[in-house]
Amino acid sequence: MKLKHESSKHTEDNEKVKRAREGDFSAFESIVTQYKDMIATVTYGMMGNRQDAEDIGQETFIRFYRSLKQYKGDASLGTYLTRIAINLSLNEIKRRKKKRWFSLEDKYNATLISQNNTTSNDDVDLVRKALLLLEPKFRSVIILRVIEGYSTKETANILKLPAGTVLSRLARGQEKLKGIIKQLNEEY
Amino acid sequence: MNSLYKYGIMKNKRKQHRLLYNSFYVQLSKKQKIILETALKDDLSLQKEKQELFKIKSDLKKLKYQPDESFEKGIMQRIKGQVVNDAIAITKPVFNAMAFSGIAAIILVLFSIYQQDGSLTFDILTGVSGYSPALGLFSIF
Repeated sequence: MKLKHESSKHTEDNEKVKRAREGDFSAFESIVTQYKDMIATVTYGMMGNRQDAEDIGQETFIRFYRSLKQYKGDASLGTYLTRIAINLSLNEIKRRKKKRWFSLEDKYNATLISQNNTTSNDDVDLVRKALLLLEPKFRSVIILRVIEGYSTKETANILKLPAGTVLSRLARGQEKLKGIIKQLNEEY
Repeated sequence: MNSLYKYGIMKNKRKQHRLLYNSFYVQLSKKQKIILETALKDDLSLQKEKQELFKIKSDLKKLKYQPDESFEKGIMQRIKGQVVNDAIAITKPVFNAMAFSGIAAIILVLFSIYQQDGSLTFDILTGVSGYSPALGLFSIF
């Protein structure tokens, strides 16, 4: 049943892409409406603040629009868009890291954490802060596999990694995350 | 002997930990399930770890972000802007070709006038160089 639903969704998406390629704006707008929350969640998880998440999220759709002709429809549209979003986020993180070669990455993350520091200090907020302190390679796996709910195979496909690496990064990532949460709990 | 025993326990613990972490995301084999279940029964710290992991996983699932309307509007505006830019980019070579051929035609006309009349005065350019008021407009032919 789920497979049938996914297959019809895939066909529907391909139809929208085809119409968008022919210049139908409403078809592309419908794609944006359908996938914007998913993409924004991925970029928010990766970047840790709204401004960057929205900028990279928008850039994801713009890149997709520019490369509409290259989309062959082999992978699902969600997977394709997520791959663009993850690559753009990782590139941006790398670019910023290079820019801040003289300072520590933790300092950057600490700034982001303080920017996002709301009055509520609940568990979800703590997990979000901890996620931001995790290395991007672990963060991306956790976002895709746990938050977005992609299967291990799909996550491996998006990140172009072997499934075994995804699983080991997932385990290591969660272990590290647990440690960071513990540390943050002690600090607050 | 003692250190070997300790090493064995540690190795076992690591294996149990790995099984616990994987159990959330992969289907364990029958044998692996038995190992993990037995370990969970005996080991309180492993039980605690399982609860912690479960909590982190459920908190992580709550990390959803919904952008506001301006997000979608911004995308569509940027795309429409790009379409206009693309259209300008497409018409630019056509415009350039037309402009260049126009300029070339003007130069050619000026050159042929110069060849014919020997100079490029205003009267020659406007075609009234041979005009005589007594003969009227027909004097220029």
